[in-house]
Amino acid sequence: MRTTRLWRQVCRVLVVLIVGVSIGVPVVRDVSAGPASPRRGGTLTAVVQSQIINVDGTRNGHSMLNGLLHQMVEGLVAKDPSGKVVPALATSWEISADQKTWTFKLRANVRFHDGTRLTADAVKRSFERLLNPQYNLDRRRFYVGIETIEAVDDLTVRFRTREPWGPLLTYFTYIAAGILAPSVSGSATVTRSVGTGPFKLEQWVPGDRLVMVRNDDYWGEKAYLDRVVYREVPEASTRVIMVEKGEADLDLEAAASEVVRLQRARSPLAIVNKPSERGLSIDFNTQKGPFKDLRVRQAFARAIDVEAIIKGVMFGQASRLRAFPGCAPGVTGCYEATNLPEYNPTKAKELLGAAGHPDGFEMTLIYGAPRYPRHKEILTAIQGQVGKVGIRMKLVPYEWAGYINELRKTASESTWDATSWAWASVIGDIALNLSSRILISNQPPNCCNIMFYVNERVDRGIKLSEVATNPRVREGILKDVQMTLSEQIPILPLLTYNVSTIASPKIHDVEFRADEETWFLKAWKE
Amino acid sequence: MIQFAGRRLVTLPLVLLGISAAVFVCVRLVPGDPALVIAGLQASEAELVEIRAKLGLDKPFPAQFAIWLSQVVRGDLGVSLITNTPVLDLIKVRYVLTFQIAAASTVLATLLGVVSGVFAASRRYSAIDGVITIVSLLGVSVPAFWLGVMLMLVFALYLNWLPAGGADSILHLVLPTVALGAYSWGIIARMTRASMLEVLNQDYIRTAQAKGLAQHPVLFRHALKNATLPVITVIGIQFGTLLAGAVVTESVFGLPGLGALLVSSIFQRDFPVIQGAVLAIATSFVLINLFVDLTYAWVDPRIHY
Repeated sequence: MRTTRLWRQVCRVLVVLIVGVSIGVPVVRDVSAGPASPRRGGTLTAVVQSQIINVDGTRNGHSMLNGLLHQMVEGLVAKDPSGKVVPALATSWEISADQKTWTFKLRANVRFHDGTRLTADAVKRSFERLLNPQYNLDRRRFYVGIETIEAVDDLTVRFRTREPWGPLLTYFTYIAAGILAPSVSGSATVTRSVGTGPFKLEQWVPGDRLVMVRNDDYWGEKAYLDRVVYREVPEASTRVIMVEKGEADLDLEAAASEVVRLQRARSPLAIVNKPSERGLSIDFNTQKGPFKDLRVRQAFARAIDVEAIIKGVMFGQASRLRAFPGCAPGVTGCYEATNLPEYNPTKAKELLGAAGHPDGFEMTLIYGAPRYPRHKEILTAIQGQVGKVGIRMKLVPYEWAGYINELRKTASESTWDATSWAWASVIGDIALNLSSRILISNQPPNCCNIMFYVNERVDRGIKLSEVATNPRVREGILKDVQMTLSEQIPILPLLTYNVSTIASPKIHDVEFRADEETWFLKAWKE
Repeated sequence: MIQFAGRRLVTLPLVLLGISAAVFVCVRLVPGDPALVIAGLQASEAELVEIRAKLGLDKPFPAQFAIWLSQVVRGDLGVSLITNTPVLDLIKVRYVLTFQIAAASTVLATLLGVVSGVFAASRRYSAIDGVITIVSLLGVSVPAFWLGVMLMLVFALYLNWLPAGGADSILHLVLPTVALGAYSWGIIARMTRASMLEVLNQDYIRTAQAKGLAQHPVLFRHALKNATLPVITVIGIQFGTLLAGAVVTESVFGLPGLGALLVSSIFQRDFPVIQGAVLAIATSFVLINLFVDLTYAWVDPRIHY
């Protein structure tokens, strides 16, 4: 009798659960228009996958981290949401006739988060820290073109460069050139970001969260939010569930599969999809093996149906990339190629035949995992596609530290035929990517010309683009370089990932910028 | 017993030394240069040489180990190569969280596992025994990752009874505890059942039943006490395993625990953090095993140390 009663109770609970799950009662929010004017106050919680590994923009980082830090640390200049350089801590600047001296006038009455004033001396010290060879800061190498820094007066700072430096302003928008308070710029290690930004650091727990609070002494328009919390949550579905439940307001790095799921379910959550700067490519070893021959590289390119991969593997959450990896709206110097080989497997087989591989060949492609969204699935799809023209591709995954170890090997030491990885523009000017990945002097172990590509003309063009200060001339040089690269394809661009954000409908006016950074200056919460 | 405990504690440093040395060598033999991970691929060889020198990574292995050991003896586990924060600070908070979840999971699994194992053994081949056997098999077989996501969907999203991610309150630990405890519960239930079945066939149990003792004291006062020893061993092993192996559950629920720290530091070749975390886990394991051994003597008066 007791057992029968117990079973009845168990069955009742099960029925409730089954019915509840079947109806699928997720959070169905009424997406009302909300109040017309922004509301002050509140805490916004953003969940992210990427680790917040430091609070120092002069160290290695990534786009999410750069965006976070940019809200606490500002530079002399900044980029507006479209990517155009605008005044920030500097109100104006002049360049000398020899193009080597840049004089910046600083904004008056600006204070750091510790209450000290922004002065030319503070700017000088911040840059001296960045350039100090003893400190070994990762981003120092971007700014070694600066020869001297002079505090002319309290609000005037002058930079002298070794050579004319065309993209200097773009480099100064990057977080590494952010101005830190003298209280922290005297040491190599910064564990508190003391800048001038609209938010200031309240708490950083590595591996867990970072909390910023509004800077009520900010020189510009004050932020609406009281507090912004970034929380590290590695699992994609957990992040989305947290937003659906209201435990978080934004998932800044939503997975493609979750975006598609929500779109199909007509979720009331807001979904923002934008192309990122992160361009995925296949890089060929041009010194060894079958890809020494341009025809083979072209055949490989023609065997890949990138649109099918974007649709089938990425669920439409990517775009075809026809420019140098790292190119995106807002990145200076980009050229969209019109001469990249298009999908044509018949032509691919012809090219292979002409190159002496009528029956195809075997090759090895290495990659670092797990790093990029659905990278393994993309490469597996490519493996299948190139297999149809006779290219038998072996995929060899490495965990990241081991992978970059492989990429440091010289041409004679390397054992692979191709690799695949993704690059963003870092600085917002494609010349840096070109320099890092194409210059002959940047072959391993120095850096990133892992294709061991040698082209003296392209080399000269890239070096010229660094010193050209006339924007039109510079554009012409960079276009010529990129046209050559898209003909020669040492690097085959594939796709640009989308940056997808899932947001609660209670959040408004978050700034999703061209450089993938997300800013909360104007954001508010109902 | 105190002497026994003392002898075991004296050997603890030697055990930790051996484990630390093994981990020290292993992580340095795996391909991957921490200087390269820190500085990025764009670093020049000269920059990498400087970083290695600054971090002491250019010294011979024995010298590096000696330096690290001398720091550990003074209570200094070093500084993270990646985040520049003291390793002890990184581990302290995470260890507490992981310990809480592991302990809660173990307690839950033990209570449910022992009770269900006893029931199953006392009603051998019945419907209850069948259900408990199948469910315990499921507990052992179902991946913690999948179970965690399912629990989150049902109880956090659909029913909205519990929070989904994070570790801000006791409620946040409920779902991870259940997800993590399911496997241990399956193991403990099956071990308890098997052990009880062996004991229930003994003559003294038959005698107790013949004397008219009720089922409850026969099971829990006479049989369970004698069936407990192997179960205690399993509980101890499970607790130690949970301390080290909760990384998947920590990822699913966004918990900043020791497992997640260990995995990310391995990927980043953050040697000081790897060594510190392994030291913490190894120390816990040894102490748990000691406690388990001491518990034997408390449960079975025939055991003397």
